[in-house]
Formats: sequence, C-alpha cells, structure tokens
Amino acid sequence: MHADRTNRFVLTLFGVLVLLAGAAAMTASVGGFGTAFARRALFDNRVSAYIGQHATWVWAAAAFICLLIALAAVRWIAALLISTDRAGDITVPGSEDQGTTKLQPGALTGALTREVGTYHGVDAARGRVIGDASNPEIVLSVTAAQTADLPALHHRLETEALAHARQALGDPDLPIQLDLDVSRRHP
Amino acid sequence: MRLLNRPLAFILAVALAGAGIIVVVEVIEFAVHSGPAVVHWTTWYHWASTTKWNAQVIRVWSAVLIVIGILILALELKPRRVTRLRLRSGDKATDAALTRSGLAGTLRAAATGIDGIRGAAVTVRRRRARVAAQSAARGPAADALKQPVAQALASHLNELNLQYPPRLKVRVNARRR
Repeated sequence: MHADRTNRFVLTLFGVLVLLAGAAAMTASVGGFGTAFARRALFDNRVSAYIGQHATWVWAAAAFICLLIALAAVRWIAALLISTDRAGDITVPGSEDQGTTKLQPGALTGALTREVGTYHGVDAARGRVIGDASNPEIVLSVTAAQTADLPALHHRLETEALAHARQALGDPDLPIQLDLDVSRRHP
Repeated sequence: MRLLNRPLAFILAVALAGAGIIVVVEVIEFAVHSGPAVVHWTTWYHWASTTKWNAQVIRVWSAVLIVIGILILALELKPRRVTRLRLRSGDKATDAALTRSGLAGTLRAAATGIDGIRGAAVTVRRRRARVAAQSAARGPAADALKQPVAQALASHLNELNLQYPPRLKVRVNARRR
C-alpha cells in the first residue's frame, strides 16, 4: 500500500474532527447551548451520566474500538515506513506447459530507457514499474534537450518505445505514464 | 505537500496507536480493580468533574483546537500545484504529459530562438503561461517584436498538442541602457 492517499484522507478527517470538537466546545463555553449549560461541569451531562450508568459494556466497547484503531494505526505506520509502490517480478503471459517466464521490472525499464536514450533530442530517461506485479504500470520520465522537436519525440515515444514495452509484456493495454521534461542545460 | 503529509501522518499514526493501547490497558486495569497503569486518568476525571464549560481554560483549548483543525484542513484541501500538463495521446492506455518546468523550458527555448530576443523568463501556472522576453533592441524596435514573438510562441504551444493548453501572455521588454 502506498500511503499518500491514506495520509491525506486520515489527516483531513482528523482536521474535521478537531475543528468540530473545538467549535462545539467553544459554543458550549460561550453559552451557545444555553447559559445554564455553560455553568455546568464538563461531565455534568446526559452522555456522561449514561456512560456512568453503563460503564461496564461502554468501556469494554470503547477498549475494543481503541484496539481496532491502534491496529489500523500500526498498519499505517508500517505502510509509511516500509511500503513502496514499485512492482515485483512480472509474469510474462504465454504457454505455461514449459514453465513461466518472470521479468524483473529493472530489466524492462533498463531496456526501455536504453532505447529511448538513443532517440534524437533525448537528454535522459528514467523508468520504473509501479503497482501490483499482476497489473503493472510503467512510469517513464524523459528529459528532452531544449532544441528537441517535442511533438515528434512524443509521437516516436508512443509509437516505438511504449509499443515495444507493451509488446514485451504481451499487454497492448498496459497503462503507461509518460512525463516529458525539457533540460535546463543550454545546448 | 506529500513530503509534509508524511511526517504529519507518522506523528498522528503514532499518537493514535499509543492512545489506543493506553485506553485498552487502562480499561483492563480498571476492570480488575487495579489503579491507573500508565496514565493517571483519575486526576483528569476529577478536573473534568469540577471544571465548568465557561472556564477560561476551556475557551483557550477550544481556540487551539479550532486553529489546529483549520490549519490541517487548509493544508489538505489546498489545490495541488499543477506539475503535469496532459498531452493528447493516440492511445487510451497512455497518460502522456509535459511537465510544468518542461513547458516553461520549451517556451523559453522557442522565445530565445527568435531573432532579436536575447532571453526570456517563463512562468507556467494551471491556466496561464507568462513569457517575459528580453529584446536585444531598444525602443520601437522592441515593440515591433511583440507580435512576431507572440505568434511564434502561440504556434509553438499549439504544436505541442496539449489537452488543455494554458493561455499565453507575452511581453517583450526593451533592452535597457
């Protein structure tokens, strides 16, 4: 699991909860829920009374929910520290009668970047394979020289290099993200 | 944004894991009629039982929570900076794009390739690209360059085949003495 989306979702949820808690407490404090309520102690309300009367099961349920939250948080920490979006070895489709062929992502990106590197107007190329090994996606970043004909380079990349990558994996619909950049170096 | 989100997410995840475990431990300790184990929550319980909603401390902490909530939401909901401008692609499975800096670079190169232009500063935003070209000439000669430069850059931008090309704004500055 790559955690960027999870991070954003949970942080947004946390922000909403903190804002709502602060706004509710401020409203209660300034008398928004009635001046009588503002003069009461924090625990002098129906919810606290209910928890006090049913403490056994309420606290058991609270502990169970907290255990689930703690386990989810530990998984989140693990995803933050050790996860990667890079794919593992890819199985090349074909006849399984004589065994299976596994392709290392590095071999695929290496061949792809070497090919792209020979194209006219290309300064540098980097590639990586992301996602699940059974459903991979190639991300190819190409830095063109300032003098390069970008439309022609884009066309050549799509019709040659990317087509070759799809052919190698036997998947004509292989998703590929192509990022074209232009070198800062003057020719 | 991602770089800031990761440490924030890590701090929140550690706090949630820690708080969750402490609650579980304290509930078990309370169930077996033992005292507080990790956190002396009885002090907090006493404080919350005696502190009133209209106390100054509640207002201060409420304001702190509101500010923290607004800051986090502003950080998370702020539109992401555009880093890729999509190119029209002949293949549905290809997500091709020109980077923002790449577009700036190619516009700069196109501008400086025009006779009479010796430099250009380019800023690319989500919907607008500004080119400030520096003319080698002074006065009216520099003004005369504005139209050919704007035309050349518009044509260059058009040729790039961007899905949503930004609006181009070109300025030609005359050379100073």
